Amino acid sequence: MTELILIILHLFFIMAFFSINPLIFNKKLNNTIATSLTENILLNFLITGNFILILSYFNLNLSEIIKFYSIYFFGLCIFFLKNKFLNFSKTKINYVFDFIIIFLISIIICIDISNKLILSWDSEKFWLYKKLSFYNNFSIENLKNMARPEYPFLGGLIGSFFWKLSFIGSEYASRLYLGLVYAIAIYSLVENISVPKIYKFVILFLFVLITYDYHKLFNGNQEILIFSLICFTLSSCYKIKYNKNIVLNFIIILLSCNLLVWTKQEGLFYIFFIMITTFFVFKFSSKEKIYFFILLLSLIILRIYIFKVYNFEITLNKNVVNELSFQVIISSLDIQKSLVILKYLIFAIFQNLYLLFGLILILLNRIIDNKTKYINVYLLINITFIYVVYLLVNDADRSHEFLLKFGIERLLFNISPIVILLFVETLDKKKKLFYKNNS
Amino acid sequence: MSKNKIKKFIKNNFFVLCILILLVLTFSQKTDYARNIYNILSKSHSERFVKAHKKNIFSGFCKKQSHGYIDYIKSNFSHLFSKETIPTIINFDKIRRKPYWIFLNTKYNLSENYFIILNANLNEDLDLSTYDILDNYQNICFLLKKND
Repeated sequence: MTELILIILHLFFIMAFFSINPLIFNKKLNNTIATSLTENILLNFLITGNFILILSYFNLNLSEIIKFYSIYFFGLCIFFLKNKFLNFSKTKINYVFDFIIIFLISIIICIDISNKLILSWDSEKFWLYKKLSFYNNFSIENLKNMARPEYPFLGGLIGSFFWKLSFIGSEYASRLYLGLVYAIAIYSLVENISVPKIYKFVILFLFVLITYDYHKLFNGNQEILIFSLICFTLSSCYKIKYNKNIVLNFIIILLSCNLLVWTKQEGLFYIFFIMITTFFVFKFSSKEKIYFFILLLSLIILRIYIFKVYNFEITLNKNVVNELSFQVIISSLDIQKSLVILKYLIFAIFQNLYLLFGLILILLNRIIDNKTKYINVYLLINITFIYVVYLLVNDADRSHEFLLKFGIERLLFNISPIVILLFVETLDKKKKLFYKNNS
Repeated sequence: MSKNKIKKFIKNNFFVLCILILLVLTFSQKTDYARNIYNILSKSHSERFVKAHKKNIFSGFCKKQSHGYIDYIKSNFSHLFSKETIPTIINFDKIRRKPYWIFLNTKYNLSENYFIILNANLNEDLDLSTYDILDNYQNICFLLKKND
């Protein structure tokens, strides 16, 4: 009984704290920008992630990081109590509905995590040791002694942070927060559809139902974080497209991109794909495009610099891609290999209902001539990326087919938030057309 | 929200509400919600861990990586080890990894006195005469202590 109560409390406290509007520190911003519960939670999550990540650069251990973080925590609580708590108006009742539904989804997932308890092969091999290193109060420097020090460590850092703050001592406490992040990530996209709230909840549950799989998402792998961060960025892209809180959404994109760089090696590429997509939804001047590019590039340079400072090897996945010379690239362009990749790409799409739904949605959009240029660009870049990655892959220990069989679905899942965005875009366009024809 | 407003809301959205409830229940069923809650209420973390790893493709209670047996030793013989010194794991199934992470530490010393032996059936020459057997699971997995 106690353990169940502790799980509920763990989730409730995280959610309640993250529900506070982080713009509360600035009265002007707080009054001019109306944020939803989802935006509050995702903003707080992104701020927390970036905050502890930046502190970890200074070789601080987790206890020291938590001490610094508590300043932010108490500041936010004090401002909330001072400004908002007493003025809790009836208009905020929508917050309560959102809170209940998101809490419901998250608690179902958390309970599943706390009973299934199995970790994936990769997670046991290296991701978990990074988490344990932080949890045992070692700083970033100690990662040199762990497996795969060249891999980014953000998942382990955030996991250990929530684990340390939890009332639960077992390992699964470090993964409970992912239930909330996952629910919020999907809802951040679904929220954009202009339909009554109850319909949004139905759509949210449908997407959760079709995407949820403990053994793929919550077994300690990093894909769920990448998926969620890409959801946040795509949702912000969509909002920017319709001129909603441009500055705030731009900040969300930047904060998410910084976390993406530190989540997995692929993140380095994903942020540029997001950048190119943003160019299609927001009409930047050439100058602004250059600034944005420099900003994203500086995130990567910062990572390389931190890796250099701590003497971590700077490489992509050296076990899989050994060399990136021109000769290797040319020799990789093999028709036989391309056909095998195509075969597994089709297999992966047809084995996963969610991806299959995405494919059908793209075809339907083609038939009804619905133009979603930025989504097409995003899809094209990402599919090309997956194709190129598997053309270049050359692992001495495992066959090309083995890598495709166990890896391609994960890479497709990483970019799959685009399916939800495509659904949102299609539904909204059809709705607008319906009203236009009726009026 | 007053009682009348709630009534009106339910009347107006009856169909969608039913679908929503159906979806919540389907999602609960997909995650095995009732069984999960029952297990959390009735079993300790260690029991759940052991049960979960029985179905694990690369492990089991006392086969392959034997997560279950290691966790059983960790829970039941914790008084023999400290956080810094944990028993040495010897797995005779050579291709398997040794999941030391179960002890939740990264900087540890391997004990020279206590040994967890896994898949002992794969080694016919195993001589236990110089050890005290603290635990024996079907003559396959052991917790041993070196004789003084």
